[in-house]
Amino acid sequence: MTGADQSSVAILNGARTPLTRAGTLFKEVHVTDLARSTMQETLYRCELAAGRVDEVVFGNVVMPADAANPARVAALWAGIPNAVPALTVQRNCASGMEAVAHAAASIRAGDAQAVLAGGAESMSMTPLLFPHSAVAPFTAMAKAKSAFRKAAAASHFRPRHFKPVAALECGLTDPTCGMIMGKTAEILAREFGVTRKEQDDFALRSHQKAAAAADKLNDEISPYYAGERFEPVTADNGPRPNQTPEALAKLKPIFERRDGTVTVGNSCQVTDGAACMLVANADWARAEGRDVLGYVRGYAVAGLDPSRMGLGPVFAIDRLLRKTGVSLNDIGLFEINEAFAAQVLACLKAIGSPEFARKSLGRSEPLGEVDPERLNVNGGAIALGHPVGATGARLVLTLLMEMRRRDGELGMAALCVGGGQGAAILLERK
Amino acid sequence: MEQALQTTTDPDRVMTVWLDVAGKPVNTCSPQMLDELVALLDEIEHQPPAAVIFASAKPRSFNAGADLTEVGKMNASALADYLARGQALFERIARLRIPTIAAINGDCLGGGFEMALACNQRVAADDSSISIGLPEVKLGLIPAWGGTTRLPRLIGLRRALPILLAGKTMPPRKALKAGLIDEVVRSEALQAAAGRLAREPLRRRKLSMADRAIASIGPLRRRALEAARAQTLEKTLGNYPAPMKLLDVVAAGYADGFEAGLRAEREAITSLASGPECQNLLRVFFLRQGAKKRLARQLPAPPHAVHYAAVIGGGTMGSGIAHALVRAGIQVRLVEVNPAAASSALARIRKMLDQDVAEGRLDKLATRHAMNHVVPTTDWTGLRLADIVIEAAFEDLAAKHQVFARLDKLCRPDAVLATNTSSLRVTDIARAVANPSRVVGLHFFNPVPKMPLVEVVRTAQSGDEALSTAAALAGQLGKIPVLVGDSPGFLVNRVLIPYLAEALVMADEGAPIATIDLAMKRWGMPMGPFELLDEIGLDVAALVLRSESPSGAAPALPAAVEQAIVQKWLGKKTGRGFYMHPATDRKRSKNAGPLEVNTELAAMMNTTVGARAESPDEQAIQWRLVLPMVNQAAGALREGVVDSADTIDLASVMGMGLAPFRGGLIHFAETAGLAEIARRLDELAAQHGQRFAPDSLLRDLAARGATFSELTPAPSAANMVLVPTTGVNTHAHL
Repeated sequence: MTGADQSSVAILNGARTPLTRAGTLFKEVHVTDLARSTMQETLYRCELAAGRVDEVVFGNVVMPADAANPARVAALWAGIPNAVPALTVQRNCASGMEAVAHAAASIRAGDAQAVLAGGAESMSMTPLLFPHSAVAPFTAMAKAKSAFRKAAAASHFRPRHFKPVAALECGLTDPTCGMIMGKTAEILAREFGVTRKEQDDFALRSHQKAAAAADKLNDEISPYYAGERFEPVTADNGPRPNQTPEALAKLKPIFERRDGTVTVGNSCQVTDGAACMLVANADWARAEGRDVLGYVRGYAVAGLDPSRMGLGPVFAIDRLLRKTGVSLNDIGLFEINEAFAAQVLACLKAIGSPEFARKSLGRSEPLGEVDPERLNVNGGAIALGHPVGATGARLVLTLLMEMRRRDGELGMAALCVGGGQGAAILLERK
Repeated sequence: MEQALQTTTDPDRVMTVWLDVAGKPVNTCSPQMLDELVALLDEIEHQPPAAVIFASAKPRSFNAGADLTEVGKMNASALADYLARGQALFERIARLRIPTIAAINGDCLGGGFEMALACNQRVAADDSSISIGLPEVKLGLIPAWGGTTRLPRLIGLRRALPILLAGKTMPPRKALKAGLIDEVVRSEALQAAAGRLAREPLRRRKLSMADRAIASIGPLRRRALEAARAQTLEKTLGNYPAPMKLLDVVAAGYADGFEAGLRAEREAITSLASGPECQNLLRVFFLRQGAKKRLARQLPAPPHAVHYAAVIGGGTMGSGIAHALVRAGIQVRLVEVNPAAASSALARIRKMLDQDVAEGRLDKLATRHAMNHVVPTTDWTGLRLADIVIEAAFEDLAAKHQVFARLDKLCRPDAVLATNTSSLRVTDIARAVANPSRVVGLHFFNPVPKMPLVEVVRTAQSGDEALSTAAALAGQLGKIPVLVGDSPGFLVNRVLIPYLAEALVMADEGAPIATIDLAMKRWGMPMGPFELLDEIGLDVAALVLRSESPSGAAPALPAAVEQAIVQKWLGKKTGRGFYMHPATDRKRSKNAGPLEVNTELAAMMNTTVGARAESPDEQAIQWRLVLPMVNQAAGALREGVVDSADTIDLASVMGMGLAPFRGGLIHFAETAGLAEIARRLDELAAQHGQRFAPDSLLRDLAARGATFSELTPAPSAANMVLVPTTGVNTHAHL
């Protein structure tokens, strides 16, 4: 009758690195090292020997040029045996959550009993790219054997060949609608009447909640020792405890200079970090007498218009509720990724809107209400940052740890995904 | 008898000689091998192939040189014959007109390398665990199969002498740089490379003008050799004849020609081999080789495999231990009190790995993997994975109790809990644990990467499996384990402490510090007692002297030393102790000038009662400082802290660097004669105090005309009696 199986997938424990603003403490740290450290710490926290892992799957978006399949590279650095396969998954901002879903699917299929799943991103190390038009003259140079031919090849270079492109900017722009992510947030702000002030207030709350939760977040954080000097990094450096409404109000909109409302202050930060957890067959975990943080009740993804990608969570949540037979009011705790304050606020309005439910979700009733007091209770990406490939996993870990603190039963995490998708996961504690 | 070598010839008539001594894990230049090579050379000279490649059929061994066990059984004429045969054989290889190549896939030492030297070309596999060189000098011998004469001609006198005189061995990449070999290739490509070199030999690099000049111009050469002689004498202080003889041989080889050089090699060996230095060095060598077997006999229980280890405390010792563990491929959970401490520990480990790279033991990629094996924590999670925990935290019993109580709860019941304590009783520490049979001591020495000895400490309750696991681990880390009982100072510190304390007393009586140090260096210690105290640190030494000596064994600390500690004159680490250690000089090269004495401290010491105008003579200093060590060793044996005199000899050389050419502390005593030792101790007791009174075991043996070596070693666990923790010396023998 219910769409979801009896839960057979457990999450035992996990760990994440501190989240640091791009260009700061982790600016020289390779993404595979960030991932490696979370894998190792997760295994120690779960007291599981590396040889007992059946599979490793990590989300990553930027994909380092010098480490193809970064999940595999990180797993090998982490001392996980050669025989354990590993893969990297990419569903833009939801990659980390996709990794957890992939692990759950492997386990349900009986292909694995213990899977390390997570996500990692080094946005600091996003490359500067030569334009593609430069490939031809560079290749000709490399192939030229004599000084004469090299000079001839060199003569084909033009100034435009040397103008670097920030891959980061490219990556955050959807080619099919020609919009950078922030613009899609502006569209939603207008569509749902989300004011500048509402966005700034939401952003302020994010910082306040994150700052207040710093001690709690230590439970999930594992210090990272960065660089040649092994500088200990022990805390997230995104949250501003002294953030004020005035400081936020002073910022100019960046995506639509003249009439926009979305600023750097009410958008997520560009960040480096990694998160990992051990996903396992629940029966196996029980037989081994292992502690369990929670269970995966279900996962859903949905597609929508790329220019309104910020609403992705609503569509995904809709699907997930239908699939699992759970109603929104049953859910005690939420994490909706704060890509932009405007986008989260638009989602909340859509969730509660009968009209939206009718027109877009084919429902007679709205999905329900998300109590702001139960949403992103320890701060969100506006304060903590959004290392794109990692966030999906980070949300799951943060949510489970908070559910444990509150002894809550059901929790839901969701993200919007550039390119017009949404992903949502339902977690429970028995 | 099975063959020691096979040959194959390819369609291009390139012959490969595969060395493969039957039934042994390594190839040696055994008499049988030489005979077969001689027969082979007959064939080759008669019907020359296109080229000859010397390779090894054993996966991890090329040729380790003369079989020392067989050599040990030879009398003088058999030895001379063996030498002559080897020389003639390698000379024939060198004279072959066809290309000869050595394909080095494993350790290539001594005679094995001399064989390679006789070839035109040498190519080695790129494996940093391979050792290449001529270590004979370290055994009191010289390379006598042409190596002493050939190497200088190959790479020049200036480069060859340091290598020959130190008996230096090195990994392939360093050997390439030094000119010992011609090429380094990936392991899988070794045979192909040898084949290529057979067809297209590399052009020999000519010696530089300067090197050719030194070789051919008599006065220049003699000056170089004189300089080397002086330098060597300064280092060996006349205690090691082999390097001096080596220089004679090199000189003869140049002055009177190649043949004369070879003859000089033979004569030198015959004279060195019968001398006490060589015999003692060989003795220590065999003790070292036999250490693991001896321990396996003492601890027959099968050890548990160690895949995960935890190290508690990342200070100097903890990080050194963690470094050794990750070098052996073991995952390490490093527990520290806070992230800053963890960060320092990681930096220390990294520095040791960088040193490994600098010295050619590891490549950079391997160090990255090794570093990734260290996962720090400040919240004690993950300890259930540890097969063994090594605690190297604060030397305080209450603190260690806390640590062990915590470990008891967090670790698996079958995990071994080991402590690196040097000043506390392992038995006392074990009280914090529900099942003390899993607690042992694993006492490493500082600095961990350099010191080969590890004392495996057994308490009355330590279980056999815990001990054998700890001992096997020490072996896995490349260390030499010795089993000792849980007694103050265990073995090495127990012996060392009265020596250091007595040196302080002598200085306090007015003997100059530098004189004492020189006397002991001349006796054969790697450094004098005051230099050692500066290395250890006066504060640490004071602590150790107070706590690690059985009662009554060591005299009280002189007041001047207490004052020095208060003034922060702690030795090398504060730039000033008994000597001055200026910051610029901190990384002194071995050839730096003598240290400057800290005259202020010296003055403080001389103002105490009894300052004498003349300092005692060198021999008197030596007897007065060495005999307490012998006495302590006797006591350790009597109390069952160690099983045998051999263990003491091995530990004294490996743990203290004590005069290797004397064959070990007990061997020295027996060479001097126990009656003589007892007599001198009595004399010293009469002059300086009861602390010199001969140990009852020593006196007993001297009276009966017996020796320590005659005492049957305690083979099984039950016979090792341990000193009760009250510190009272009981004369106990089961």
